[in-house]
Amino acid sequence: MLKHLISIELKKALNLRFFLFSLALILLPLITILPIINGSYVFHRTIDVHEQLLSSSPIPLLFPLLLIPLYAGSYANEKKDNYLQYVMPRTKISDYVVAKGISNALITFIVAYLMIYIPFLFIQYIDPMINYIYYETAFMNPVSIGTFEVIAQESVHLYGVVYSLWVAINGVLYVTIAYLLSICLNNTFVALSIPFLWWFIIHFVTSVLGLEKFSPLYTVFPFAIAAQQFWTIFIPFIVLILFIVSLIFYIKRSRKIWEN
Amino acid sequence: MSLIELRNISKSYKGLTLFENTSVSFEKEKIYGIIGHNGSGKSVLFKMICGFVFPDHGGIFVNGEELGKNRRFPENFGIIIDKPGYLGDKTGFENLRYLADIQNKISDEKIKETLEKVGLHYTIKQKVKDYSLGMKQKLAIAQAIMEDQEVLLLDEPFNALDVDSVENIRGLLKSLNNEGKTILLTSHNNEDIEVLCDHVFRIRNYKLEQIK
Amino acid sequence: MIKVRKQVINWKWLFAVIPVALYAINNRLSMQYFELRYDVVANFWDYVLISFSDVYLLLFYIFPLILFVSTVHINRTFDYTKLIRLGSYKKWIFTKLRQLMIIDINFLLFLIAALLLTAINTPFSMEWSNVGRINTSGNEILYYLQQYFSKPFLAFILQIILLLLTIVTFQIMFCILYARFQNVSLLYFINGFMYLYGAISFKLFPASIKFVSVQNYLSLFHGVASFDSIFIPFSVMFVALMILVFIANKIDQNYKQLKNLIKRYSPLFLYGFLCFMGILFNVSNNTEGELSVWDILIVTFSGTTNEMFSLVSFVYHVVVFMGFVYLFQLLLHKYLSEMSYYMLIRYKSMYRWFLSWFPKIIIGIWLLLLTLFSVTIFIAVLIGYELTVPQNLFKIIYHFMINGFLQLLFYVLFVITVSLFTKDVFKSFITLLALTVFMLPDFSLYNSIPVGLNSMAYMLEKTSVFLTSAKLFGYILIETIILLFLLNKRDYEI
Ligand SMILES: Nc1ncnc2c1ncn2[C@@H]1O[C@H](COP(=O)(O)OP(=O)(O)O)[C@@H](O)[C@H]1O
Ligand SMILES: [Mg+2]
Repeated sequence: MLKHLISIELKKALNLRFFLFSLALILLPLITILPIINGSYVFHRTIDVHEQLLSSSPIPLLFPLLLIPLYAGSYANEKKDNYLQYVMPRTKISDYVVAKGISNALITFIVAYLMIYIPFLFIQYIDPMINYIYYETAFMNPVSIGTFEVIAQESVHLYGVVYSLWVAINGVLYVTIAYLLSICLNNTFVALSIPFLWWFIIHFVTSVLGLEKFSPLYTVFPFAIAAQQFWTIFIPFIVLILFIVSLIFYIKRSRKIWEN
Repeated sequence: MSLIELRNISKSYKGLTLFENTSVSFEKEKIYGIIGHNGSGKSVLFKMICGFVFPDHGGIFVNGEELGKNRRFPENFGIIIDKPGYLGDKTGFENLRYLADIQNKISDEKIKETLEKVGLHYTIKQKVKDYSLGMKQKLAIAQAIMEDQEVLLLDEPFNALDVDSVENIRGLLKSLNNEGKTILLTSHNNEDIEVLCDHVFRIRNYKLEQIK
Repeated sequence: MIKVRKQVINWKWLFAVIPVALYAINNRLSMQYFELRYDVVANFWDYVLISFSDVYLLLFYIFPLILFVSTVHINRTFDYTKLIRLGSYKKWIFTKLRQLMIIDINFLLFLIAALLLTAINTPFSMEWSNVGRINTSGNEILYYLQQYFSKPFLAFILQIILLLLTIVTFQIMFCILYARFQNVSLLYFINGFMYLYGAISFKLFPASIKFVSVQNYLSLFHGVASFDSIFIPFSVMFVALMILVFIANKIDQNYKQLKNLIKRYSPLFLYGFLCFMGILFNVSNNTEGELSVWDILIVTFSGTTNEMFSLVSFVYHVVVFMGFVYLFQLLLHKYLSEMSYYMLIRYKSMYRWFLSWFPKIIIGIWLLLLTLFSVTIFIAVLIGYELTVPQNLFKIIYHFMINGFLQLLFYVLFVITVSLFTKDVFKSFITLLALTVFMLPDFSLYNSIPVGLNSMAYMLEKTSVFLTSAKLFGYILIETIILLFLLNKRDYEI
């Protein structure tokens, strides 16, 4: 039943607007930013290009804000428009809500993954055939790309996959928080904006306090900061997970779904 | 065995009493009308029968099974409660399609047929958020009957409908009843109730009293 | 009460201070090597103070122990019948606090006795010995203490006061929490949390967050050295204590009202706090060099330009200005969701409805700019920056106030337009933040997009502030026209 509900949700989500928006997220950085950085920065390795592409793009700054419009607000809309009352006689509403949450996570995961991975594929595999990017070969002085450099040392492809996964998983956490908050709070605007506020404000606060190695921004996009020990990136991650767990707990306890 | 049975129900909201120790049962294949002044608790009654809200005391039995033991909603009910609901940025047909997909019992043809029955053209490409209130109401009726639901709980089904549509829907409900459906409806319009209902209940003094 | 008074001396504490005594003896023994190595002679107070100011001892033994004992005491002696006799939670809290103070004094007496006794039979003097002059790792306690305090005895007394002050502050907090929630698990949780937090704050926190590091309020030398002031650790704790006393006095009043008030103003508080934090950060980060208060204003609100980009100032700029717009969006969301045809018909037109609240926003913008301006200048003066008048003073103020106003007005109008058009305030939130992309260095398109044009960093470049005003003015004009069109022409649907 859950699978079936998820497939309905996916069908609901995948409309033209969604495709245009995700295509923009996935391709725009490549199309608009690559030409700008190509030639104005010194690149030695493919991952340097990938790193610069991301850090020159607005993706790190706006990260949760780019993913939340995909589908996180759908519960709030259906509640507002009284649609849920028709769902209730047809299926268990708790299954429905879970299916919505999973679809939201799934969609976000794919889009966020591709948002990082497609540029990587292009830079790593397609560009060598067309030689568009200009690499400095005269002198070799590679600069570390940050915390994930250790993986890149192992294998560049592994880096591409692991890093894209890392970003995608974090994206999932942020949209899930937005989704759960939209169930808890009556004010949809506040519910959907909180993940971004968290992202941005905690970044600001950690920067001011000299704790930037724990900033959400720097742990998901660790480029503008010196390489940190690997465990540091899991601190904000764990905070998010704890937050999600307590939200789920709260929703179950307060029976928020039924008494709306 | 009654189809729906309310046993010693009490319900109040923050000091506002709506029902007090009231019992009533509804039989199969009849049309029931519920009347009562505004705020007397007609919608709340329907919500309780659907299991959306719980009575403070007493139990509600559908087909002999008590609701809310594990928060299950009764099966095969078609409902409209309060204002109509919809997915704002989909068309009417898509709205019904998504709802039908959940149980996957009916085809597109059936949906189109139902839309025609309630007086909406399935080819309308407007999004539902731009529908008029009456159109939304028709869509609400369509979703309540499209899957051949056995029991229909219709809260003010004639709200916002024009005269012709009211006639049409009345006929539709009659014929559904002839097919063996049980219908519970509320209306503030006495004519609707008189024309349609086999039995009528009025909410007074926190009880449901039968007046027909 | 009588029972408590009877047992003025509670001999149980004797056992509690045995570890302290052992620790002190250990310190005394290791001092011998130190004396030999540096050819100095420690005196009585050295021995007392190195043990009494020891962060490990305070943080991991004395402080947790007394918190734990307080928790047990509060829980064990709580009794509704007594509460009813006392008549209010407030009285209950202060009665408990008196009892706890007696426990504290008991403990401290034994503690001090143990420290004095273990230091006995050492050279006695009321002056600092020369041990404290040696600046070497392992000798921080005496080194810093003798730097800040003229007599060792003074340090000793102040250490007692600081420790007592902190303990009492925590005890009153415990009493308040217990009175409010009547849940002892919460207190035990705080006990455990403080233990962990103490360890983390001691070992991991960088110096920049000294205000929330526990050890600075337990160990005199640590606090004084971290803040570079004798005064600050005491006053921070004292302020905290006063706030708690205030809360304890109000605890019997209606919470609902207070809760609503807090809920309503918490976004504003948070916003103010963040702004303030940024100002403090910038003011305290630029103490080197001969900067004037005006330079500080420029640095604090520098924002970004084509040539100058730093993530911190970009982020602060967004926090301050977009943060204000966010507060406005919260309000707008409320207005839009409360709006109905019934309401509009009473305003007679959308236009009047708009004018019924818009002037308040304008006043809000001015208030914000004035507050930011005066708070920054005030703090900068306080810290001791120069008040010299630069040549371009007029331009600085003009740029900050007028261009700041125009820029904020642009944001606000933009948000209103998008929200009215899409009927979704969240969409305006996304679009406005997406616009901040044009503040990034690769995207600024010759400053043609009106975002962050009030960045104070433009003062360091050749850009004319009047040109900026003109640009912003032009954009605002376009927006106003669109908005008027929306308000007048569009068949409005809710
Ligand atoms: N969730 C709720 N919380 C508080 N009061 C409610 C709630 N739902 C309904 N009520 C109150 O119960 C009364 C009956 O409501 P309702 O059944 O909708 O009236 P009607 O008979 O007009 O349909 C109203 O006064 C309404 O305010
Ligand atoms: Mg009703």
